[in-house]
Amino acid sequence: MGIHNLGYRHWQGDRTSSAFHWLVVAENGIRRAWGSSWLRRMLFFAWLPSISMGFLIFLYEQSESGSPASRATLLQLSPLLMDSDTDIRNTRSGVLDLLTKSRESPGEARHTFWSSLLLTLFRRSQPFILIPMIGIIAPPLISQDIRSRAFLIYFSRPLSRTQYVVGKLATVLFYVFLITLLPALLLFCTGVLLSPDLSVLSSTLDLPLRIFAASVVIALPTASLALMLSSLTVESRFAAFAWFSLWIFGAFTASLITNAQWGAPDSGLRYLSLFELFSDVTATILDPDLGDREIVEQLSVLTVITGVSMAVLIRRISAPLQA
Amino acid sequence: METLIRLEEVTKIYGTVLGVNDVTLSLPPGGYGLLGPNGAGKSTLLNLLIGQLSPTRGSVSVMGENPRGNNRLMKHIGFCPAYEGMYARVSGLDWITYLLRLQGHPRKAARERAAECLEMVQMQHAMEKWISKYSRGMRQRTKLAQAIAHDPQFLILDEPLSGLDPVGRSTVTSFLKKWVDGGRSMLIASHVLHEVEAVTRSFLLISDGRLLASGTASEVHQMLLQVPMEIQIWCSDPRRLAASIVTDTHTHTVSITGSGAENPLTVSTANAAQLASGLNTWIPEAGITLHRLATSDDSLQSLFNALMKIHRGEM
Amino acid sequence: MNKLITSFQYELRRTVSSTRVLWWIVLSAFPILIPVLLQWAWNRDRTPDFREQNRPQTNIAIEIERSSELPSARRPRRPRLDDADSFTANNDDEWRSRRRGRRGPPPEEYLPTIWSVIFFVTGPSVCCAMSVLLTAAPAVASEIEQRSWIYIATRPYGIQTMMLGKYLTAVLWGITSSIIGVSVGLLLTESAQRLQIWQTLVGLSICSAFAYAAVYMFLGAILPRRAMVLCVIYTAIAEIIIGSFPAVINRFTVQYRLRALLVEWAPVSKEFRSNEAVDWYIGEQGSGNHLVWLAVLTAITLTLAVQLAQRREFAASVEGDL
Repeated sequence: MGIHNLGYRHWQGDRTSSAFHWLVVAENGIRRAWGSSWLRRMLFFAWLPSISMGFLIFLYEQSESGSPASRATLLQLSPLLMDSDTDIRNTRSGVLDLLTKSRESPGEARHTFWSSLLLTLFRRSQPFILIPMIGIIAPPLISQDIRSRAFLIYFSRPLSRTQYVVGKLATVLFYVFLITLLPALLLFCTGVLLSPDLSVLSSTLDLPLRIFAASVVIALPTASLALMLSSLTVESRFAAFAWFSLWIFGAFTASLITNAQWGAPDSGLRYLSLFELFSDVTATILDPDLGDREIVEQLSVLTVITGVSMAVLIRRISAPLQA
Repeated sequence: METLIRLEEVTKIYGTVLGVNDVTLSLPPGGYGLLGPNGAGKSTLLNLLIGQLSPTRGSVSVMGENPRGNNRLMKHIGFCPAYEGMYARVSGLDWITYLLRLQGHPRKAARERAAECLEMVQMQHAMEKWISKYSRGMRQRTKLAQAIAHDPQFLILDEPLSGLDPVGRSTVTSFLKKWVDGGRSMLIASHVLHEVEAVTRSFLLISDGRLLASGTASEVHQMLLQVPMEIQIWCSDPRRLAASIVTDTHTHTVSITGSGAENPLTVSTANAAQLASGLNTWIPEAGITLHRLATSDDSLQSLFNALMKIHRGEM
Repeated sequence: MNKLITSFQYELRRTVSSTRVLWWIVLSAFPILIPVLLQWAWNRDRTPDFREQNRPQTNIAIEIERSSELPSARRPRRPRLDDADSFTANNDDEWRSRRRGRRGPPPEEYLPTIWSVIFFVTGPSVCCAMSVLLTAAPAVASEIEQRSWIYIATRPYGIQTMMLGKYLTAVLWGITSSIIGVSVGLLLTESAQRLQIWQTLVGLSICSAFAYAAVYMFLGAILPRRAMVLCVIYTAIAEIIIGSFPAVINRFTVQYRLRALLVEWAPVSKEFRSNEAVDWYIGEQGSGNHLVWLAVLTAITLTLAVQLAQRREFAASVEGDL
């Protein structure tokens, strides 16, 4: 090629399809986040509850098979490990009732017990990992790119803004699924493996789908909300602060209003708390008997949160860079 | 003050990374250049000197005192780091006034002195603007102004000329030269050799955390004559001269890139002094006209290259 | 002293940005929002139309009886500090029966206690603590992140002065947001002894800001890169969970001291004071004792924060960031 030919030269090598460009952004984000030793520790702790609950399934299945020692241990342990605030069936007497009921309809009782365990996992253990974990991963994801003017580098390549957003979203979703979807599926598989035979699948086959749905319902709004906060500032600490504030203020507001209201709590005000919102929705998804059944309002609120967050996020990324 | 810097068997280790490796050094007051490639340990050495790091082994003394946590010493040291790190949403004038007030200057005097220093580095036109609006060169000059503002006895500068345009480079270089000529001490770290040469002729050469050489340029030039180096010779008949040069037992290689007289003869020798005296004999004997003889002796580059090669065991 | 004043003024001026002011407004609005929401809910519950419309769904008597079948949010919970009845009732059954069928605002005599507790939670405990967290936690991290640390560190007593300047800035942000939030919130409420409640909360806001700012600065100096996360985790685990343990360990938390001072100073009802559950939370020491504890805790954590910042080799972190 002549030295005078200084025009644009097309890349002659192989190219991956543009449909997978977001994967590069996601892969880079996942690898960078993985560098945090705190994150790795959190992931380790996130998997511990599902292991302990797997043990409860083992005890339940053994009790059902008539083992008195397992029955006694289960009755001792379940009030400790299970969410006593979820449903009456999770308490000692509740488990006893379930074991009695399982003689008549073992499939239904098993489904209730397993979904109660899954709900405990989703409601009581995972949020406490999810909040700090997203607080570590998400705040710098976009704010640092804005601060370091990395958009100039990203968007001078064949990468659209949508692909960029999808890549960033996938980074957060990956880690959220690591602590929601995977431990729950692991718990389900543990339950199946520790059961006397594979016939348990017939009564619990819907649970993996329910687990997936519950994970998506948690992951999408949280990831988009956290990324939106990250896109609103160039200082990641403000984004982290905003993220924690949303949960803290929401929880305190709902708690104060619920307890100081002279009568039944107003359901509308409960939506101020993300805890309550996710709690209601996951309960119903995992087993309609555990939740409120009617979760249209809650789902609408979560859809609005996701939609508004994504709209703001895309708008912020599309905005011209400031000097 | 008899000794400006004294390092005794100083080693600094970060985890498994060796920042500075067994450096022993004693320098009287004056101006010095600290040379080394990126990652050589220059910044670590500077951080040891300003007390921001404590040595893993050995002792550091600056102007006779241990710099670590030494508030008294900090009054007499001015430091200009390689990175920017200035607050974005304050003006250069406010920032330097603040730093001067931390040095103990009264408010009015601090502001006046800050303005004076910014004028010295030709920043008077932009000193009221936010630092975020400054160009890279302006930030570099503002950084320098903060380092000299409290009139320190010892100025430590890490890559002070990077990011400056030729005019800015010339301004800052002449300022630093004046500083050294005024009898005050300075240590200037850089990986660009001619930057240091323009300010001082005394230098330290550091690589892989080790001090390779120290002293004035002429002292090291003396040493260079004893070390292997490359010399390029432009003459009327390079092939005839090459035939004479290969007879010298110290000659490693002789190469000619072309056939014409315009192409130099490149000689690699283990003893440059021996080659120089040989040339004095061979050139008149063969009746060759010598057009140009270039060693890199006049530049620190050849010195740096030679010492690095020795250090790596390549020569 | 001059250096400290300079540092404080400079830090304060530097922290006044649109984002920070927005956060200050949001945090100050929290103690205002809660009473507004509550009063709105109480007043709405009082209207006959609302009662009629909501009778089948919201009849608490039915709900309590059905509570064993209902999910958690609909069932009565264990006693809480922010629920006056839970302290004055001797057991769950009494608590349930007291609340049974009630709608609208609580009885007049409970209002000082309820507002004291609510404003304590929203003001000194949440708004003030969050506000100081925003400034104090990243005190070291922000300087390292923007690589300005070295300029301060190479000045005589630079780090000490900067840390104390940032501390005072954090305290000022915290105190003002809490006091303004609580003051406006109290103006919007109807209750006897509002002045005493206000005085109590002003005092508690000052104590909270000084103590939390020191604690957060200390945590931020221990782990600058994860200062915000560490402080939030500390607050959740130590201040909220451990602070509620009926054991000696809760006495080492700021929350315990602030709660105890609230009960000492605020016009809370006798029933509230004498309830056994309250004893779990506050102990029996006098207010002087609690103030000394807070002062000692503040002094120790602040000194440790400054010493840590001074002694740690952050220059290496700056290099690492390059």
